[in-house]
Amino acid sequence: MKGFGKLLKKDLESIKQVAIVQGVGILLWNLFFFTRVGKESPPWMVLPTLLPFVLVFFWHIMQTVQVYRHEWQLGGIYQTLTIPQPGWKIALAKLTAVMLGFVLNTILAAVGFLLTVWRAGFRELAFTYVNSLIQAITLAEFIKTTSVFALGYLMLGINIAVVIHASYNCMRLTSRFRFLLGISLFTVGWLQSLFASAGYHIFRWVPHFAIKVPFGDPLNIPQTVNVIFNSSIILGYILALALTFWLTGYLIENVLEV
Amino acid sequence: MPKELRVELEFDSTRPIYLQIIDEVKRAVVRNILTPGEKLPSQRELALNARVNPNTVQRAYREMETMGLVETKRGEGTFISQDEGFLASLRSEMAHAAVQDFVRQTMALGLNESEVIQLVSEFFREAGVKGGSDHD
Amino acid sequence: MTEQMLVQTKNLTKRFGRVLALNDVSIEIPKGIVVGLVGPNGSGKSTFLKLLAGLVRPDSGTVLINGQKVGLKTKAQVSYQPEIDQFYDWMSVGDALDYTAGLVPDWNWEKAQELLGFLNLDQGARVKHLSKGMRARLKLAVSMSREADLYLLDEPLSGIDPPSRVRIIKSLIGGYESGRHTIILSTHEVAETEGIFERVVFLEKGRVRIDESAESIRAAHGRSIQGLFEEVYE
Repeated sequence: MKGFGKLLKKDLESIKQVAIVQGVGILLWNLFFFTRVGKESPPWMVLPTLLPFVLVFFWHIMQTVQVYRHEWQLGGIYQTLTIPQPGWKIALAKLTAVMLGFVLNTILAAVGFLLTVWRAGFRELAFTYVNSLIQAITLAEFIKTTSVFALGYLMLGINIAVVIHASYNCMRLTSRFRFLLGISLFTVGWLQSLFASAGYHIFRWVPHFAIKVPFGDPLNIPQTVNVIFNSSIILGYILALALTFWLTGYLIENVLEV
Repeated sequence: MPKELRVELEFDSTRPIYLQIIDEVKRAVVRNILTPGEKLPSQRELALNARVNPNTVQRAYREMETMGLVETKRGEGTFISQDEGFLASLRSEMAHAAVQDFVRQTMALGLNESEVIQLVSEFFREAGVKGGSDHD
Repeated sequence: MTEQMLVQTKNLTKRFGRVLALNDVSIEIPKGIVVGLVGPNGSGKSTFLKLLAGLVRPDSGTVLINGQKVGLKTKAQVSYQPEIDQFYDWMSVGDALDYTAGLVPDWNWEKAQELLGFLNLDQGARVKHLSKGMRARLKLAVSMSREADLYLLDEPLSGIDPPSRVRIIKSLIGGYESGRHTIILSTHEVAETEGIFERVVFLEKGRVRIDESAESIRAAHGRSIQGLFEEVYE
């Protein structure tokens, strides 16, 4: 992986400013509600600290575009495309950089949310709730379910970045007109669904898997439902993601022009 | 430390540069600016000072070696030839060339042989130019 | 073909929209010489270099470097210096060297240190605070610190102060090893660089107008390359 570190550092630097502004935004927002909640405050005061989880996705999109745009605005792209580094490595460094930003912002949002909940006096309630969830489905099942949700969240972030990166490079192919981004997005999205359905057929033989999802009134013992996942769809989707990523690397290495 | 050759920064870019380097060395030798056995600047040094391609300088040095003007001692550098006979003939060759140029130009002005000779001696008398002699 | 050429282009043609940037260019360049690629703005110099560097791809015709099609393998042998600045604002001079050093297989730190000293560059200086001339010097230090087979320098002297020009030309000569390095340098200001060219290619509207050795241009035409340049592009 010689050179990957250098590329990653460059890409982190290029989104640093945007990411810091976003992080500080989340921090200030959470801080505002954190300092206003207390034992007497109405319970809804905790809810606004959930908003950053939505913002994280919008800001993720911004960083995802920025990591390419910055390089094109400066002359950096001239060097990136003439050094002997394969396209996938260049693309992977950018993907890694924006995913680090995404994860860090998510952690900031989560910490803010949890601290606010704690300060608002819902600590006992939260513990009881989690406890009853675990009792309903066993600890192992609880960990499995949580991991699947976390992984799903991460995959969503990766998917957004991979599709936008492929689209951005498609857009650079034809011309630099911005409206083509829309068309490129559509094309890449369509390609991805094509890949996914191909993957679905390829992986038909893989057995399904299920997770237990508890729900219900936190003060009662929650009910659980079995959610069954069709593995072939998921594998098809991961294959589609990999192919879309490969497309980006291919474009960078073999097709893009400056 | 070898004396600086005048090619430095001043070559005339309308003639092949390697020929100008050779001419410059010849002129320096004839005028005793460079003496027999004296070391020439290294090819790289000359290239840097004159801002010309090292390959061009190399070509000039190679040609000078072929004509016997310089000799290269392995690992030591390039030196002006010690061959007095060669240097003398170089001097006369260059003098002949200069005279030839001069005569051609004056003849082109319509002067004849005796007029040219008369002009030259008048010139020496009036300007008090010393024809390379040391006594005063 | 008796000898393997370092660069070989055959009927190279490249269009950008309606503009014909290169039109049927066939050039062969052996290893170990300095080639001046001259011509006015828009004559196709940059496009030619970009095609060798792999930044653009031909519409028709071929480019071979060391007998190979342009790709990752040839990029490992070619050090390309764009006309535009490739640096990022966060970089110091040292970072800029470090960055490229980590991305190419042929970096030579000894050479880099030597060039920094000769070009009067301070490792700690922030790139965004450097003057245009100093940035041009840094670009040269970055591209010439590689041990590449082929150096492609796009307008390395364009729009910078005279002392920087002199430094840049001298460091090109100083670092040049006869027979080993091949440099293709594009410029529209010929007077200062013509001494270092061994061969000169005149481009005009995407076509090769003259392709001759520098000394034979002087011998045959009795004029400097600058003089010929002015006459050709009058």
